Amino acid sequence: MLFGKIKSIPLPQIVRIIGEKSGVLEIKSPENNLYSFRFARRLFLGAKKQDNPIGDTFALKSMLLELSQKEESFFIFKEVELQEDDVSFSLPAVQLIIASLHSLRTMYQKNLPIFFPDPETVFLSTGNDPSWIGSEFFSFWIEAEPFFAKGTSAKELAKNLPIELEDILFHIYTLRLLNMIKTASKKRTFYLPISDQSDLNSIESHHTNIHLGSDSAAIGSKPPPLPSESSTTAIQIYQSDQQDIKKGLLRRLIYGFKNFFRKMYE
Amino acid sequence: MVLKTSLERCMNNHKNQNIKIFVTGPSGAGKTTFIRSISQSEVLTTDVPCTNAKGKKETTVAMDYGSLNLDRYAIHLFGSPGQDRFDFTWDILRQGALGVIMLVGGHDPEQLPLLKKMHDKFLTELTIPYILGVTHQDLAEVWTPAEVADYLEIDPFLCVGINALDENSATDVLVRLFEIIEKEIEG
Repeated sequence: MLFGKIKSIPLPQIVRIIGEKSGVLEIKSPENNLYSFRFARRLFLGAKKQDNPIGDTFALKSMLLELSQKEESFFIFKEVELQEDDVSFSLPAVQLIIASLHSLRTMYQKNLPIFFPDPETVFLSTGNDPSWIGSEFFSFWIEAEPFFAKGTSAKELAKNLPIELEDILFHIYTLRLLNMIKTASKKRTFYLPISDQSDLNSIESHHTNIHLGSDSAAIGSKPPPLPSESSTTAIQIYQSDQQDIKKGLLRRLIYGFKNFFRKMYE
Repeated sequence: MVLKTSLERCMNNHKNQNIKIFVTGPSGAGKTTFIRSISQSEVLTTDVPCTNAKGKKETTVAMDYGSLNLDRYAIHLFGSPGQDRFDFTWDILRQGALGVIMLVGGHDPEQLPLLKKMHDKFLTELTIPYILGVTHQDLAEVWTPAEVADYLEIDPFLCVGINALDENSATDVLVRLFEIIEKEIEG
């Protein structure tokens, strides 16, 4: 059963977890106002506030903003099959994620909520198309993408980009929800305790991927060195690669022109 | 018996008998209870009284230690404190571990953000196999292992439900961890 407080798991993250499931997400504010959202197989079908249906995107945005300020609100997701005649939006759920992320931004401009990632966790690009993620997140993506391509953390981005750590953490949280980046996991390896050095040598000579510890490695003594690939190295590789920097600049320029033309037409 | 079989398959008849398992997770997940349930030796704890809105009366401040013996194998369980102000102990306690058991209270979703931070950091920094146990599965209102797997965006096979008070349930988690280790060795 999905339940909790939106202080710990904010709305965009709840929508991400709901994923393929169909049902109704109910959020009750401390003032006892009831907000509900209906979902069916990655589609957002509609919302209500106190039994009043939300009819347009402006009302929806205002509701999302209101909700983001009521962080003590309690949510519960009830999995049910929904009737198709009760549909007022029929938007991809990811659009609701983006809209509610904008509301979160206003709320968490300069403080660090508990659900932001650890500044030292390394993230990698998933290679997904970024064109749909929205201009605000896209401009950060353009700056940070070369770093994510090789694996980077918020701490390292803060050193290399003229953006504050708090903002970087928000953007990493965002990009992860939008499936643009993922945690960079190392390949799992093992310390099999073995009896003597000859065993160790014989196994190593077979070029296995298993990393072996000494007899006492399991309890106390120093384990053998881990195969480590520091993310700092990844950044250094990036910095020495002028070609990538040029590509990044070019992309930023193209993006600037796109925005300029779009505004002209508007 | 199942535990012994899975352990023997996983260890592939290596002669050494000492296996270290690191037990971690947010405060209130049930780490001390888990070690108490499964340990054959007297459990060494460093619990101190605490005041907690959720009714928790004691909290671990340094480590828990318990052990169990299966034929020639001795499994040593090292439990970490759950509060993130003691996070410096996690790096020390996990050294040399064969696997990690992460626990989270399925009844208390406020533990999930810290679990995610711990999990991500662990995934980035370490290369040892792990399993995630979602405790309090005996309660009616609880996050299921599959939901926690969705939250962490991990393979549901890595997530198991557990009642840490029950020895059999706690043993199942160890069995699954050894299966994961065996599977990854083969893979």
